[in-house]
Amino acid sequence: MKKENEKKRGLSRQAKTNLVGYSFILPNIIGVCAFTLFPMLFSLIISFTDWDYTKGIGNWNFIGIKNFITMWSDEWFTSALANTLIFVVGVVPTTVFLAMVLAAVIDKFCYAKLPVRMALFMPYVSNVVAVAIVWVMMYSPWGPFTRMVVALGVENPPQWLGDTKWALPAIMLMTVWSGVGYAVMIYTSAIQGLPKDVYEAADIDGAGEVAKFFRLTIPFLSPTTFFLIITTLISSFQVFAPIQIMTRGGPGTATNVLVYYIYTSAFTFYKMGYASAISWVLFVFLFIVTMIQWHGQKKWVSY
Amino acid sequence: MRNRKWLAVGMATALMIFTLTGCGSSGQDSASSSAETEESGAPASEDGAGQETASADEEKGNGEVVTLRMWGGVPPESGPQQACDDFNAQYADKGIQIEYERFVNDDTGNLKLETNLLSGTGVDIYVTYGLSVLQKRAEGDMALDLTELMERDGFDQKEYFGDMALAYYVDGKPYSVPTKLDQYGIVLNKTMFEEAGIDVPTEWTFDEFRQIAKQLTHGEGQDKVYGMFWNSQQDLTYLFTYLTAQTNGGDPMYLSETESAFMDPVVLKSVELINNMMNVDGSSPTHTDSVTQQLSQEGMFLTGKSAMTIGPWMIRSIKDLENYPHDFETAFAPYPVVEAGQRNYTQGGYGDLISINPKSEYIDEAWEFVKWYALEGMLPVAEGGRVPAANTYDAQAVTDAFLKGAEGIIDAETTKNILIAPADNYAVPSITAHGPEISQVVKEELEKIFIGEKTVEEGMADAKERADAILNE
Amino acid sequence: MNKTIGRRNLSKSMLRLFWTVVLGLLAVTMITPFIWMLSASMKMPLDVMKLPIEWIPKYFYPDNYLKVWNIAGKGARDYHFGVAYANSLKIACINVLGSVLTSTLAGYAFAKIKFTGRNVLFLFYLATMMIPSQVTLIPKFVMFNKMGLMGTHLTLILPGMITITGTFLMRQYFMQIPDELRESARVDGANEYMIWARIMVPIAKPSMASLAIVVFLWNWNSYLEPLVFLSNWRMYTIPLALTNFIEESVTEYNLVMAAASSALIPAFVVFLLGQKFLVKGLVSGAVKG
Repeated sequence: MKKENEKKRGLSRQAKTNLVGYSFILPNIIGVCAFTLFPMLFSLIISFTDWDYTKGIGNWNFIGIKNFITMWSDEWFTSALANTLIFVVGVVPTTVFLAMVLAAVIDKFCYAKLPVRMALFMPYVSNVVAVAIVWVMMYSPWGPFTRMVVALGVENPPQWLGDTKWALPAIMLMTVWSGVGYAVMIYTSAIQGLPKDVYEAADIDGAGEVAKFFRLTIPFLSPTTFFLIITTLISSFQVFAPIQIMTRGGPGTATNVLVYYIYTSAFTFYKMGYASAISWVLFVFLFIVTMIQWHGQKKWVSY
Repeated sequence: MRNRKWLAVGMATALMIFTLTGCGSSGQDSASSSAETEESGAPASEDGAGQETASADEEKGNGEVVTLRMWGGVPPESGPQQACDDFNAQYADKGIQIEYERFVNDDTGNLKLETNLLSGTGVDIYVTYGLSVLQKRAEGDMALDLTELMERDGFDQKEYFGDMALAYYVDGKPYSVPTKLDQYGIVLNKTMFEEAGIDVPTEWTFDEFRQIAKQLTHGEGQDKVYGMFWNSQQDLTYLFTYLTAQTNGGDPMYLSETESAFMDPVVLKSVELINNMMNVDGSSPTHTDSVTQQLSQEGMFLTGKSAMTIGPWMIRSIKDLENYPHDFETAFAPYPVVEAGQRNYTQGGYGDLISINPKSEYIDEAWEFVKWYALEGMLPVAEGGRVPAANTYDAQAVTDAFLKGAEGIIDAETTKNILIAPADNYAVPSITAHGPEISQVVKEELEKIFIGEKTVEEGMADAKERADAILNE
Repeated sequence: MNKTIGRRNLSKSMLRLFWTVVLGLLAVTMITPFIWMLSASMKMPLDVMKLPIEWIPKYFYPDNYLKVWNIAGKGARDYHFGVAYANSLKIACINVLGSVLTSTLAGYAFAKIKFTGRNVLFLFYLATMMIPSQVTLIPKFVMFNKMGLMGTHLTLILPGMITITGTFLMRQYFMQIPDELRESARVDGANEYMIWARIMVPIAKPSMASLAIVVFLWNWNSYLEPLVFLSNWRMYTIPLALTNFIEESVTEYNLVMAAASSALIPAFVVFLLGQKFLVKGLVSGAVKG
């Protein structure tokens, strides 16, 4: 008893900090462990089996790393991987940069801020099916894109979603368009925390707006930029809904992306084990990219 | 002001902790704790973890009423609701009631059904669309082997459904009762045919069909009327397999368990026919048109923009004059065949395979309903365009139900001949090896053919190579 | 002197006008899906997919709304849309409250409290976002089934109380806030809980507001999980109720859009409420220095 008391009194500063810290994250930890960790580990185990989920739990054979080997000679997987990488490289930087510029411009040089911000956010609010259908119509032969191209004198305008070369870029454009409003909102909330006095000091120094944007705004927003890059990266690697509604991976395999293929493997081909294996490959990809960002952030993110 | 805000936050915290601890305890005893957690966390949930709780409550008040749950892919208003209401009226004093739940018959809808079957709650009876899916479900212990129940009640499938019923057994055992007679055909605008002086065909070849489609095509741009609409928005494999099946039988995609049929001459001719109509004759919208403009059969056929289409799954839309106003008469014709004398089979067979969930607590009651539905309860469903499979129905009554409310809109004669009168040479499937993957392969290659990236020969040769690789894995 | 200031103001307002026009044009493209939804919701079924798009319905058909809500016996049947609406509201509200609270708590700790294993734990957090939900769906189903929660709203509420993205967002926001604020409160004798409640939460309102908006919309539009976890119309949420309008051979987009447009109202309300905080945050924003 006495010893314990001593121990308690001797509880180091760090231990106290730990206790306080853990108490703050406790609800989160419980939730993650209960509802995310188990499904994750389950899918990891399944990735070494040939499980078909309709056969029920436990009704599987362990097949070692076969799933992880066969996928590299599976054209569906390799083409989906290539399409996904193109998609990510095209969508992530565009969305984040565009959103930063828009958020800054709306904040500084715009009348009617609220309606503009609200309009930018509309694609995020609107029903995803409505968004997809409108874009299908935009890309139809009667839509503005085809008309524009025809007006420029092109005789055989691309068929956009019906064309193996244009379908993926068409969906990428739509994704940037519909995702930018969300990023603008996140930036807007971060901009509210920007220090006024520093900008005033820059004003006194006679710095131009462009210079202030690059020298002050970008560094100050860097934690948010880091957040947006990571989350947009993850959601782009996992793009699914627009593909499912607009092209179902077609024409041919032109818009077949990883998560769409994972979905098809699991629920159309009934190869849950294989789908889980692909998911874990996707996980490794994402994790590596995130780790690189995580270590890289020290150079460009200023807290 | 401030206090009130904190009160709200505090309550939210309490609520959260409550639900979290609630879930922690519920791992031990599922039945009782689910009720507990519901009280604490989700005040409005009245249903509970399944139907059992709800029906158990009813039992107390009403003697021994069992409420079954039936899942089907057909919207309730297309007949199932009426059928269930009829059953409920008839069986009210026998203590069985049924509730209909609709799932959408697509990937996600079937996933929903299957997870519910696996969890054992909420589904007593369900409908499967397609033999290959039934096979999966039988193997996965999601469908009850009905042998015992059939023997007990002297329910002889052959007596009601003929020898073809055996084709829908899995491993020699009945896991379902077929309820619908599927017969397909070309849906055509009889008024347009008459105006062009063409008789509704009862037999035709690919060439004749192609010629007629060309003849019926006229106009330009937005006003163009097409002879045919190949609904390539839907599953692309339907288009050619329906044509091929007339000659090659029930496995149009397979030569054997290990070899695909994509280089079979009849298959090639079928794909060529569709491709020619889309891309050479212009007598059908192209696949690209279909995809980029989201063309639907309702939007093309029922607005008079195409004289023919494949079907007949749009019966309900044809009869729905409020939503799809039109004044022409619709008739039906058999699918064309490559050359005269090659009609070896009739495209069709049994569908709407109704099964019982082996985990159901009310298997006897469910079986009672299955028998009733298959043998006598289907007339309301016939109004929605589904022809009963059992021979216990009066043919005239079925025809009347089928045509009810469609007088002058649907041609009675061809409906009877093509869709209702049973044939004796159906193309019944027997091979389902890697079905979804093979379909995916051929869909992709067909798309490349129809958008002009590959010729028919090239595309189908590639399809065969890829499919055979999968079959021999 | 006055003149130059006047000219400068003039050029400034010209610049503003220019950007407003540019952004206005962009904004117009952004609201097209919304306009299309409204327009489609008042059309006859066959007019919905007509090309080129008819923005103003040729035949004005507001009956779609009566059908969806089953008012005056217009619907082919009762779609139970009101029930789904109430369910969706309930789930979204509980989850917004819960997840904003948990995210603000954990985000603060990850940003400011230097406990052991902080970075490792945080990376682990991020990692859990990287497995696509499509493959964790079945394990989740298995788990809820074992817990006896299948078919109840708890399958959506319990996991919905926590969002990794939200925790990440709040962490990044708190990272921006200078430590001096914390230190001075410390000197005044406040403990971490008091600092969090009295200083940090008020400062974090803009981010909490955007998080609340986003979480609301996620819950509002979530489809696959409710589809698998809920099996009875009494429990359905709005996206599940929308599947009622998928007929056998055709989807009745006019009804889908009437329902989806009806579902927009709460989303708007949440967005407008959130906007108020987004801008109000300005007052406390000028703390960094």
